[in-house]
Amino acid sequence: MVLVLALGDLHIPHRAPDLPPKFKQMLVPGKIQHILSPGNLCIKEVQDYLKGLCSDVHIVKGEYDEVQNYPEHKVLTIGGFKLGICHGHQVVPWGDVESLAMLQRQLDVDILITGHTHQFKAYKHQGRLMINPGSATGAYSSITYDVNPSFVLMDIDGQRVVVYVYELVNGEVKVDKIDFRKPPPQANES
Amino acid sequence: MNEHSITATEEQEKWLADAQNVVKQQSFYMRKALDSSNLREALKYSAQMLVELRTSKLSPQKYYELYMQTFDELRHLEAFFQEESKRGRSNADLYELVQHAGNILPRLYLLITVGSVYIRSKEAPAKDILKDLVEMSRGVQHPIRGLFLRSYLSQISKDKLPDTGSDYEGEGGTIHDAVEFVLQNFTEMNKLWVRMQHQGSAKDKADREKREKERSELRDLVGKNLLVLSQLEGVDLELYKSTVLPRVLEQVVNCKDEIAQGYLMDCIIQVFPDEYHLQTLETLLAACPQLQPKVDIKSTMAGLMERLANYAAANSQVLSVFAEVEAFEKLSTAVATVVEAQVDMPLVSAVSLHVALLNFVLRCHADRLDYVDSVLGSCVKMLAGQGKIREAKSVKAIVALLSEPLAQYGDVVTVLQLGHYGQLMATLEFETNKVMAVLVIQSILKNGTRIGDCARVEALFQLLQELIRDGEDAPPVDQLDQEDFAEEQNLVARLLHVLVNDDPEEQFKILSAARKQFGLGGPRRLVFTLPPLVVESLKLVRRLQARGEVEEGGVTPKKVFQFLHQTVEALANVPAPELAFRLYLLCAEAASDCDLEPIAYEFFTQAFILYEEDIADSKAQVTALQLMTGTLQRTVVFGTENRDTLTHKATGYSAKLLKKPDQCRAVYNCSHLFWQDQEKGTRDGERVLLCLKRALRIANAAQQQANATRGSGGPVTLFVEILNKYLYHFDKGNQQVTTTVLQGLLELISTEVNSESAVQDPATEAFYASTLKHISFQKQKGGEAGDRYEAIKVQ
Amino acid sequence: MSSVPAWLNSSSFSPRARSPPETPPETPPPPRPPLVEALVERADPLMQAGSSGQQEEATSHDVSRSESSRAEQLQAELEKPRIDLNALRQLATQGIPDSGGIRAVVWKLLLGYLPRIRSQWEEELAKKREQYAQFSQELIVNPSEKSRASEASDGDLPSGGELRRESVEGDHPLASGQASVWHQFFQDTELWEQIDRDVKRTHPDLPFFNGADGGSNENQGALGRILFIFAKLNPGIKYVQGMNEVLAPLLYIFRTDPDDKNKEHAEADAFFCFVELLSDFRDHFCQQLDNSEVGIRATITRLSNLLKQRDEELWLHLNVKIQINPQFYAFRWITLLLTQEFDFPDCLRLWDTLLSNKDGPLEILLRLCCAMVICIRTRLLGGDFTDNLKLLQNYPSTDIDGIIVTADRLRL
Repeated sequence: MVLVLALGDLHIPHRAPDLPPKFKQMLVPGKIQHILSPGNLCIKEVQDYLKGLCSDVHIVKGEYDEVQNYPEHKVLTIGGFKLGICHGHQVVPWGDVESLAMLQRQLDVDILITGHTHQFKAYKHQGRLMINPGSATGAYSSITYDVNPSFVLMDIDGQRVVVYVYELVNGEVKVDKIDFRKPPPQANES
Repeated sequence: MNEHSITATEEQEKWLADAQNVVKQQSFYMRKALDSSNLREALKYSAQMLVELRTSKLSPQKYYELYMQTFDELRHLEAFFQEESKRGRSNADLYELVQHAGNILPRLYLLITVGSVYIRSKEAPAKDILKDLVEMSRGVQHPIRGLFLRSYLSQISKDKLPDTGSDYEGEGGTIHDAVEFVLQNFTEMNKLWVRMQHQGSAKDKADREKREKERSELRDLVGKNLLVLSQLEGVDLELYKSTVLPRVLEQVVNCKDEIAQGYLMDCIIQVFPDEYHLQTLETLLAACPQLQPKVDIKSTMAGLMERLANYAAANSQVLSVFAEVEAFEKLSTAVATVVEAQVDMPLVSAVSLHVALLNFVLRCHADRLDYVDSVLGSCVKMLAGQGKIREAKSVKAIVALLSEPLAQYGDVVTVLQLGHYGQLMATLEFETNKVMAVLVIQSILKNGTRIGDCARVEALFQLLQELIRDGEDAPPVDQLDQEDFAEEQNLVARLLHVLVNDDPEEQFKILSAARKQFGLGGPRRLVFTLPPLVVESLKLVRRLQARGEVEEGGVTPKKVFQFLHQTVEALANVPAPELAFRLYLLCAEAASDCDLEPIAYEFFTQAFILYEEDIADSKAQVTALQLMTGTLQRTVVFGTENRDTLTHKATGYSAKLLKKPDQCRAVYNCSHLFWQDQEKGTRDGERVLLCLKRALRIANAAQQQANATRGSGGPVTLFVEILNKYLYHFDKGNQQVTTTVLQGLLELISTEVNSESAVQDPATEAFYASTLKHISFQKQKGGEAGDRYEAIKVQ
Repeated sequence: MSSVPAWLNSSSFSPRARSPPETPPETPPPPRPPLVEALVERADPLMQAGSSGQQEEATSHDVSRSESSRAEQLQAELEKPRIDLNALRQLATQGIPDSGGIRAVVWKLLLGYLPRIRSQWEEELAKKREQYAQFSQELIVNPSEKSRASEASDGDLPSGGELRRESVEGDHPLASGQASVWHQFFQDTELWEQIDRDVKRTHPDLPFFNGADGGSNENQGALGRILFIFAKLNPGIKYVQGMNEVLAPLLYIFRTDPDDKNKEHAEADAFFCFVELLSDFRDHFCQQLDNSEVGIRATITRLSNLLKQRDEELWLHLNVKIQINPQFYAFRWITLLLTQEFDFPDCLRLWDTLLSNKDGPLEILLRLCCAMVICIRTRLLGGDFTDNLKLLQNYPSTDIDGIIVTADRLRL
C-alpha cells in the first residue's frame, strides 16, 4: 500500500494566501510516501512546505512557477502503475480529454495527472486513468468559475488504486473515492 | 588583593571563633549559676557573655552567627526568669535589677529578656513595657549592634503585642499601641540601616560596594517589621489607610536612601493584601515620584501592576472595584509622573513601565481599547523627539508593546482601531519596524482575518510602510537580502487576498488604494505585489458580471478592465514581460467572457506586442505560444476579422520558432484555433488541415535536418504526434481529414519505424503502439465512428 | 577455596589429565553419550589445538549412532496415546535429532502447546490455528483492503468517460478520529517499522531468513506478524528488541517440519509457543521491571551468586579482581536465551535442554550460563579485563555438550 498525494495549481501568492487551514490540518508528515504535483505552486516556499510533508516530491512546470528547473513532464512507476505528470497548459485545447489522451499515449502511462483547469476530474480512457486534482487552494481560474479547493490522494496497492478526492465545499471537507483496477494486459492487447 | 581578601576572611573567622569561645565559656558559667538558682551570678555571666556582642570587628554575616548563639543562650535565662516569677519574685524588681548591668548593650538585651517575661505576667501593661523598651533601645546607635538589638526586641515582642483580639489587649493597650510600637521600632531600625551607608569612605568604590552588599544582607531585619504589621489582626483597611501606610511611606521617602526605598517599596507591595493596595493606590503611587532617582521604581511599579492584574484575574468580581477606584487612571498618571520626575531613568525602564501598564490593561480591562490606546499614546508622547529608537532593550520593549495587543486580540482589525499603534511603530528603526510589519501580516493570515473596510486597509498599509515602499530610514532595495526581501514581498502579496468586501464598490476602492500604495514600491516590489492585485480585480469582474444592472457612476467591468490594463502595463514596464504577457491573456479571456470584444482584442494585442518585443528566449517563446494558442482557442467573442488577425499572428509566430520540433508542435496546436467545440465556435476544417499539413512539412524538414547533421533519420515522434492530431480531428468529424490521408500517414510512419536508419527509441515505439491501440479501440466502438474507422487498415 | 567443588579440578577441567576423575561427583551424572567425557574435556577451546581433527570424526560417528537410537526412543514415546512428559524430558534434554520433524513435536509438547493426550492434538491445533487467524485479521489492519469496495469499477466503462465518485462517509487516509482504521494504521506504523528493522537483521547469515527466494521473505513476514500481534496483545511490553531472536528458532523448527500441514501453520504454532516461552521470561523484557526482583538485573545477580557458590575462585577473579560487571555479557545471554552465542544448530541443541527442564527454563538457563563461564575458566583466570570481556562477549566456538554436562553438574 502506497499513498500518493496529487495536488497542484496552488498559485500562492498570486491567487491565494495559503492552503485552506482544514487541508493543512489533514496533511501531516508521516502518512504520504510520494507527492506528485502538476505545478503552479508559484513560489519555492510552497515546494518547501510539500517537502516537509514527505521527502519524495515530484513537481512539473506550470507557467507561473518561479523554480526554473522543473521538467515539462515526468514519468514514474509506483506499485503496478506507471504514472505521468504534466501541468497541462501545453495541451491545447485546455482540459480536453482527447488531447490529454494523446499525451497519455505519448507518455505511455496508466495514470496521467494534469492540472491547469482548477477543476477536479477523473476520467477512464481506453482502460487508463486521467486525473486532474483541481486547485488545492481553490485559486481563480479563467477556465473554471467557482473553484472549490481540492486535491487527490491515491492509495496504490499493486494493480489497484483507490483515488480519494478531498474537496472543500462550503467550508467543509467532503471526501469521495473512486476505485480503479488496472485492466489485465490482454484486455489492453485486444 | 586576593591575598588580602583571604587574610580578611581568615581574620573574620578567627574573630568569630574567639568571640564564640567566650560566649560558650560565659554561658557555661551562666547555666551553672542558673542550675544553682544563683541570680546574681547568672546575671553577671550573662552580661559578660553579651559583652561579646559589642564587637565592631565582625561582618554582618559573622555578627549574625554570634547573635544567634547568644540568642539561644538567652532562652535559658528567660526560662529562669519565668521560674523566678512563678516562685514569687516580682518582675518589676527583676526589671529594675538588670538595669544595674554596667554596659549598655548587655543591659538592654537583659532588659528585653526580662521584659518579655514581664509582659507575659501582665503585672504591668504591655504597652508601657514595650514603650519603655523601644525608647531605651535608642541608647545603642551603632548601626549593626542597634539593628540586632532591635531585631531581638522585635522577635521577642511579636507575640506579646496588644493586637486586637490578643491576650494583651485591654489593660495592656490597644492596636494603636501595638502599631505605634512596631512603627517606632521600624523607623529606628531603618535609620540605623541607612546610617550604615555613611560609615567609611563614600569615594572608595570597592568599599562602597562591600557596604552595599553587607547592607542588603541585613535588609530583612528591617523588612520583618512590615511583615509583623501586616500580620496584626487589628490593622484593617481603615487603620492601614490612616496610619500604617502613611507612616511607613513617610519613613521610606524621608530616608532618601535608594537601597532602602527600593527594598521597602517592594516589601509594602508584597506583604500587604492586594485589596488594601487597590484602596490606597493614590497614596502608594504618590510616593513613587518622590523616591531617589536611582531607585528601580520601574520594577516596583511593574510588580504592583502584575499583582493587581493577578488579583483581578483570580477574582473577577473585584473588577468593579478597579473601575470604582479608577485604578487604571491612577496607575497611568503615576507612570507618567514617575517618568517625568525621574529624569535619569533609562529609556528601557520607561518603556518597560508602559509594557507593565499595558499588560495590566490587557488583563483587567481587555475590552477597553481606549485604555490600550492611551498607554500606547503615553509611550509615543514620551518617545517624542527621540528619533528612531535603536537601543536594543528599548526596541525589544516597544516590540512587546506592539505585539501584546496583536496576541491578545488575535485580530488586526481591532488593533487597527488603536490610533497610536502606527505612531509607536514609527519610532522603530527600519529592520525592527519591518519585523513588526511581518508579524502583523502573519497574524492576519494565521487568524484568517478579513479586512473589508477601505479606511482600515489604508490604516493597515500605514503600518506596513517599510515593506511596501523604500522608507527614509531604509537601505537601498538592492542592498537587502534578496531571499528575505522576496519572502516579505510574498507576504504582502498573500495579504492582498484577505482585503475583501462583498460590496463591489468598496472592493474596488480597496483595490485602488492598494494599487496606489504598491505603486510607491518601485519596480522590485511590483513584480510581487501587482499579480495578486490583477487576480483580485479579475475576481471583481466576475462578481460584476453576475450582478448585472449598475447604478449611475458605479463600478463596471469596463472600469475594472481599465484599471487592469494600467496595472499590467506597469508590470510590463518593470520590465517583467513574461508575467505581464500571462496576465494580459488572463484579462483577455475575462473580457471575452464579458462579451467585450474590443477590450479582449486590446489585451491580445498587448500580449502580442510583448511577445514580439520583449520575449526573446526560445523556451519562453514556446511556452508563450502555448498559452496564446490555448487562450485564443477558448475565445469566442471575436468577429471574423479580429479573429483572423489574431489566429494569423499566432500561426505565423508558431512557424517561426527557433527549433523545428517546437515549430511543428506549435503549428499543430494552432489547428485547434480553427475548430472550437463551443456554441459560437469556428469550425473551419480546411484551415485545420492546412495547419496539420504545415506541421507535417516541418516534421519532414526536421527529419531531413537530422539526417544531414547526424547521418540518421531522427526519431519519428513528431510524425506520431501529428498522426494523433489527424486522428483527433478525424474523431471530431472534420470531413477534410479522410481515411486516405490517415492511411498515408500510417504507412509513412510504419516505413520510418521499420527503416534501417531509424533510431531505436522505445518511447516512440510505445507511443506508436498506443496510438495503434487507440485506433483499434475506436474500431471496436461501433456505431458511426466505428464505421468511419473501418476503412483504416493497421498492420 | 573449599567452596570449589572437587569435580571442578577433575580431569574434565584440567588441561592435560585424561584419566577419569579422582573423586566421583556426589550425584551421578544423568545418562549421556559415551564420548561426552572426551567432549567435555575440550570445553575449553584452548585445548582443542592439535588433536581435534581426529577426534571429531570418531565423535560424530558415535554421536549419530546414539542419536539414532534416541530418535527411536523418542518416536516410541511420541506414539503413546498419553505422553509421559518426564520420560520425554529425559530423552529430549540429551538432544533431539534434527531429522523427521521430531523436534517440532517435542518442543510443542515441552512448551505445553500440544496436550498430553495424543487424540486431542488435532482438535486443539485446529482451535489454536483458527484463533491465530482471527488475531491476524483483527490486529493487522490493512486500511486499503478495508476501505476498498469489494469490486473495483473497471469493467463497466469500456470506452471511458468520467468516473463515478462515491461519497466517503467515514474513513479515509487522512482521517484523524480514533475510530478510523487509517488512523489506527498510522499509529501502528511506528511499531511495524521497529519490528521490521529487527526482523531484517535476524540471522542474516541463514538463507532461511535472508535468502534470495520468496521463502525467506515469507519467513521474515511471519516473524514480523507474530511479533506485531504479540505486541498488540501485550500492550504492557509491546515489542522489545531481541524478541525476534527468541522467536527465530521456533519458527525455523516449525517451518522445516516435513509434515505439510504443520508447515503451513508454522506461523500460528510459533506464535503460541513463543507466548508460552516468553511467559517465563517476559519480565526480562519489561524495562520498568529492570530493577525489580523479577527483572533482568535480579536474574543476573542470581547468576553471579550461582557462580560464587560454585567457583568462588573464578568469581573472585572476575568480580573482585578485574571487576567485570556480569551485565556486560550475561544481559544478552539471558534475555536472548543464548541464541546469539553459538552457531544456530548448536543453539537448537541447547534449546532441547533448555525446554526440557522440569524446573522451568530459567533455572537451567542460569546453570547453562554459569557453565559457560566455568568452561573457559582457565582462560578467564589468566586474562585481564579486556581479554575476558572480549572472550565473554564473543564466546569461543566450543562443544555444546560440554557446557550442557557442566550445567547439569551444577544442579545441587
